[in-house]
Amino acid sequence: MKGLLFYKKKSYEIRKILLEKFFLLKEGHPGSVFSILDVLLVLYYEKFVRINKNKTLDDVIMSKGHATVGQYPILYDLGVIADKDWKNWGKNQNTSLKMFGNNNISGIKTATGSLGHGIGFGTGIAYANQKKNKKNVYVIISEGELYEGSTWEALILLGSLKLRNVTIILDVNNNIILGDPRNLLNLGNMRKKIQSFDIFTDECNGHDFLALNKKLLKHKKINKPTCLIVNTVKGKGFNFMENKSNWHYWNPMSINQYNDAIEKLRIKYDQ
Amino acid sequence: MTNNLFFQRDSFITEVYKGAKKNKNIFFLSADFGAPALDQFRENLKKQFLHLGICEQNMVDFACGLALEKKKVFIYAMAPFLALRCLEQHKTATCLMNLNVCSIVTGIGLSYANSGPTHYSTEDFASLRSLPNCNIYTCSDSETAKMVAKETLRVKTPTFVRLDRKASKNLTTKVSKKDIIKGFRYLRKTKNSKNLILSQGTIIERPLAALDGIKINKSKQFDLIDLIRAKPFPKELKKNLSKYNSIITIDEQTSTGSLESLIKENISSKKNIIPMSLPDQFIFENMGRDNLLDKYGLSVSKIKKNILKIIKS
Repeated sequence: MKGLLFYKKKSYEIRKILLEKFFLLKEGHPGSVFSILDVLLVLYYEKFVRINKNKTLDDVIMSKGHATVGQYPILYDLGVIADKDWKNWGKNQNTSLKMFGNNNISGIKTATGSLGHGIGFGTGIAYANQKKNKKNVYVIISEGELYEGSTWEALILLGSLKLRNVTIILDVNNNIILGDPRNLLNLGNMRKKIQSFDIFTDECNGHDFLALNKKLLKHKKINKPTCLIVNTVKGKGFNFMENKSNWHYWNPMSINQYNDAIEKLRIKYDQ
Repeated sequence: MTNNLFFQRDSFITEVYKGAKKNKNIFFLSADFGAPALDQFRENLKKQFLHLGICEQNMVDFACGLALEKKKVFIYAMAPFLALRCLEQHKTATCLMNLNVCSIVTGIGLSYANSGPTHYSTEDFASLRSLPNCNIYTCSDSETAKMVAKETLRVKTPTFVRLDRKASKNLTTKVSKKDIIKGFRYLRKTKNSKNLILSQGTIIERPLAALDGIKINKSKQFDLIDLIRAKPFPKELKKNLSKYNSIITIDEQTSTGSLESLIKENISSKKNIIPMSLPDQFIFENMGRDNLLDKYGLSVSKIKKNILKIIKS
């Protein structure tokens, strides 16, 4: 595994780049992107998603489609997203990058953004690639997607097909737009519920790079579908954003506030 | 088949089965919906058939996952559920990603007349045709269903095939491969005719009966067109429409977004259009499909009346 210093540096750099893009775009879903970002770093830089000649061989289906932009700087860094697409994004110049992903973007397999599609897509992709090591599929869903009926339809099928090349990553940051789901419409014991579909399920801290790597390695060896519940912090890395439901969306920010946020981020990751 | 009556779904599935035997990348998914012709598929091509459970929404997403991996996927369920229940899945997945998925939408119109409004499919045409990137076929007999199946095995873009539930005789005018490719066929055609009846699906039997039941002067003859592919709208038909002064549209759908709207979108000059469709309401009576069609404005006599109205005008 790459060292913790590597991840600390990447975690800082990519958060900084993304905040800059959000600031340019004046829109987006920073809270959700920063909650899942550390998971994405491990998936790509530990080569759970294999890349060959600028093409991804394994798939990450960002079912919580509003967090797709978290993949862009990583895919750009790894040579999958073209220079022009990345640099033009946020500058009102021609780019394939959008706030929600679609299958016209290099390295992004599916159109998402409407919640509750990802596990179905991922199951279909994985079913077509069951041969050992042919393709692994990582489907990232949010806890909010557990309110969508199609998520449960898909879980029934996934468990029944016993596909070993699918790992669901369930991002639990305890924030949906109107607040903490536990106080709104309680989802109950998510682990127990998902496990009941014959899907191996466990959990870890979604910002602990060592734990994430260890769990994902373990899940690769399990002979049936798996689900890793990652406990995360919405807006992770930016104090003003952390655990704030209202940072599901971008909020207006002055240039001074933006500079201050970047400086505080640097200090936080320098420690 | 019984007494020269054929089920569209069996004709369609039999062709898909033949194609799937030759091509292992063809998959057939069912949301707990069967057909005699499907039994041989299930029995002989086990690796290419999946029962997805009664969950049309996930069936669409799963099919799209397979299609993203270069599979050709047929999905099969009752019309109201495969069209409207998962319309958003078709938008986000099938059509937006422009995938090689053919949805077999079975039991259109009042096919399930005795089951009531939950099982009618009188809005699917308007709903599906609002989606970009798709082909929409409607079959008027089982021979058309067979020919459309052959075409769907060839095309690689999202396709919706609208099939009737009932067994019916094949229409006397035999459909050709050319008709399927161009998207329509003439069931009645007279040189220099200025009047047209345009319809789709098995309801077309009614204007056929109406035309056969009236004596019309040579100068007032009506052409009758069976619209096989409504989307993309046939280019040749669009050109041909300009020569008619009067058009009757007949569709077993509610009025909003049905054939009337489609034709109005595809004509440039003002025409005398008489739309015939079902009213914009849910129908609760249980009196059989034919009686419901008669009661709600699609009777042969009503069609005759409209033909005479045009002749006299």
